[in-house]
Amino acid sequence: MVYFGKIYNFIKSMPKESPAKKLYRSKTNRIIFGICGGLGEYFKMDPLIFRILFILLGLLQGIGILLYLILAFVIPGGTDNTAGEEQDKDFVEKISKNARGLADEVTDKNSWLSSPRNMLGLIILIIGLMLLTQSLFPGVFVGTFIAIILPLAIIIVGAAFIIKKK
Amino acid sequence: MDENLKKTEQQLDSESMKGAKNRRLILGILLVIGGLFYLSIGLGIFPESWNINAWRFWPLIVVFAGLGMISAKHWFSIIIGIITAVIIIGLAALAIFYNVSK
Repeated sequence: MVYFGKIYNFIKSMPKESPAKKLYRSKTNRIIFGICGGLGEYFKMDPLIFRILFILLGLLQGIGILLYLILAFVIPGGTDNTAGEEQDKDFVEKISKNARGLADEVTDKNSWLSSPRNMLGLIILIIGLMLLTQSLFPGVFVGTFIAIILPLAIIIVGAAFIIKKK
Repeated sequence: MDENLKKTEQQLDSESMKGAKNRRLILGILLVIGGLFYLSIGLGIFPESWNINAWRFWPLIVVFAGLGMISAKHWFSIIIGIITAVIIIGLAALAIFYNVSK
């Protein structure tokens, strides 16, 4: 364990309450704006999954492209991470994840929705089922989607901008 | 410290394996049902008018991507998996009637 001493110092030097995990556009793992790479780093998943999802959503009246552009505006650009820091971070995160997982199992059974990964999975699941409905019943569902859900999404994004400006 | 890390990795492995297991189970059940359905049409047990182009089920890729992301160790995830499977089968059944009545 070459990194042992370094890691120990790193853990010791960490603040008692770690700051909230932040979503950034990835600089190291980017193709266009680094959105998918950033999402992959945030959720600790292969960015390829997000790229495929955005392309599939893009095929649906360009919704994926719109969503990607909105995210590109909303998510701030990231800073460069050196490889060593990344490794230390991974190690610490693994351990804290383990601790959190054990704590969850022992105490709180209702924390399912608090996991961002589960929420994202659920949202993608619902989008998938909506797409399936649209695919199987053409004309029945497209109307509601274009007429209601998409404008609502745009309004929410706009409202978020206004509230943020204040 | 080293032992702890090993334990952590083992636990993470078993967690992701459990997730993959659940996904495989639901995917397997749906594939078997779908295969039997198209086989029945091919053998003439079900009428030809029930045939749906299998490509229209492409959003299932998105559904399974979402399902795979949900951690499997929680009972709530299993309920979501079952509900999803029921919704998919229900939608397919509705689509057949929609097709026939047209």
